[in-house]
Amino acid sequence: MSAIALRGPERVVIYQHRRALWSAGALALVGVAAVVAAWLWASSASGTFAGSGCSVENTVRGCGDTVRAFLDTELRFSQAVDYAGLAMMILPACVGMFVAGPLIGRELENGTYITSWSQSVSPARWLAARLAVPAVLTLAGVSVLSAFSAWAWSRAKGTYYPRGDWYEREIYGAMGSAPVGYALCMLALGALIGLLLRRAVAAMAVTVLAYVPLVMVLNRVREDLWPTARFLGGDRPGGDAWLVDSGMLTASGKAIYPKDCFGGAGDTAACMRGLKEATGFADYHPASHFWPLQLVETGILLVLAALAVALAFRVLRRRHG
Amino acid sequence: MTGAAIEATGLGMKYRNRGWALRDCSFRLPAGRVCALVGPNGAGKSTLLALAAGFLRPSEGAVRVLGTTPGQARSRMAFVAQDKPLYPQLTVAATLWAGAELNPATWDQDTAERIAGELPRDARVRDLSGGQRTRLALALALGKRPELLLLDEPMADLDPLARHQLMGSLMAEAAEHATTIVMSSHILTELEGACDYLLLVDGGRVRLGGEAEDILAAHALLTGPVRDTAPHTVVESRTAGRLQTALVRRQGPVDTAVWEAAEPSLEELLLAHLRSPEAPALLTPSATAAEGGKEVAAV
Repeated sequence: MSAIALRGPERVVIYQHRRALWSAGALALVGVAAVVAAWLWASSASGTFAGSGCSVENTVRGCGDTVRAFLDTELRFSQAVDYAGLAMMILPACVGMFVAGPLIGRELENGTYITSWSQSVSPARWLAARLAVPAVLTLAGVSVLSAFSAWAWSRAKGTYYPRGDWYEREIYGAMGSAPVGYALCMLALGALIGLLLRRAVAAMAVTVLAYVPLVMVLNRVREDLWPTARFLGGDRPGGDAWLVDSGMLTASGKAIYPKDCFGGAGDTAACMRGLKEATGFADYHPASHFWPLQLVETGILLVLAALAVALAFRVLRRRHG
Repeated sequence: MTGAAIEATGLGMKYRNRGWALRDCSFRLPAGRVCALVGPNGAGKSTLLALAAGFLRPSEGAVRVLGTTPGQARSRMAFVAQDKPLYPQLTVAATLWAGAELNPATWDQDTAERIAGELPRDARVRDLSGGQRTRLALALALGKRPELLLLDEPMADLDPLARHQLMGSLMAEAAEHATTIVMSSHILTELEGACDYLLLVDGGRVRLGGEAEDILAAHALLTGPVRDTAPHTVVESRTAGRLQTALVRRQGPVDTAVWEAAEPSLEELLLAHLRSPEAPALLTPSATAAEGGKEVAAV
């Protein structure tokens, strides 16, 4: 949208959808502003509260309203962060729907693609512009939003209403590189679905439906995307470790999980306790595994995106030469 | 022989749910002609144009445009689709701007503006009338300065006056730049007078192809007694009492002692062929594809 040397088809795509793009940008700005405002409010309230002589832990007479007012601002900020996380989870589906519907499905449905292809724009070039424009905007926009969401999460952590640990699905999927990966993957899937269905509304609906299993499968396999660390001893790893599994380690060094005891049948707890000369262990992801896990997951999403894009060009070439 | 604007060899297109829309088409359209592509509804005219424009991949055979593949020739030809699918949310001015953006090498704003004429520049395409949309679509096509202009039922939603005007501007542009034009129509006579070349498509096949004059001259409308018209090939024959009227493809001179011979009108000729699907195809030498198709029959 700036004066950088954009070439014809991309400029036309941006011009045609400028209102949707501006609206999306404005919506993102409003969301960011709301979270920042809630944070500013909470941190100013926190300063005032510190000077008031009251404390949350020891309620003394006369402090009730002050404490309640302070906690309210923190709760409000924390809720804002919650909504921001939810928005981050929905964002990839929205990107996919935009590409599947208005950008591609509607053109094929209304026949307006004929107007583009009648100019000096090949079908492949037409599709490339419809992928490149949202991809660049997604890459830039979602990266910024993801960093912002991580910042907001870390701020909420210091309040009386922290928003859960880094490995929880709603948190993990709202920061790091994963949101960018999901958004780009949905963009490519949306393009492919739009090309195959050639109907705007149907393509948008199917794209949303495709997002659900994608998220579910990756949520399920996430813990296996990077080798876990092992913690020995009866106690569990502390801090913000993501506990994946635990069991007993025999003297010979064999790891026995509850499901291995009695082959999973019978009283596994008693079986585990009955193991001789065994020490307890826990497999977990320390917080330092955040980035390796995120990058592997993003890599998988990008490979999926590349496959969808390759398939989309193939479909186009097959049908339209 | 001049270069070919379009050359099809064994061209066929099969749709998944409708079967063959076009089959075994071989013909040649020399450059610089204004060609009428006629035929009834569903004859395969739109399919043929879409194949030439490079929107569809042929199921069999090949079509070459301006000496190369349709994809390679994309920037040198323009196509106006039957329903004029312009972007409805763009204004007239924005549509022309998009034309300039999407045809950076060839765009001529003056031509586009001239054809667009009095169209309100800030009106959205979705608010334009059918005739106005046709005008804008033609402005977009001619602004591209194409060597080959493919028009699918271009004048269908125009009133006679607007049709006359637009056809006039079209012909003027074509004459000035020696543009080859292919115009399809199911109204057989709509294009008479404007076109010097003829392609009759019927049932997915090319039935007639060549210079309109030559095709007309190759036929004769015979009136006379009921008897065999040999050696001439009968396209269509009717008898009323003792009188026979036959449209024949001439083989040698007509025996004027027996027959009263007249040159048929274009409409008579086309209708006779449409009513007689078994009449053999006729392609004049200039309309015959070099690499020989099955339907090729020189005069």
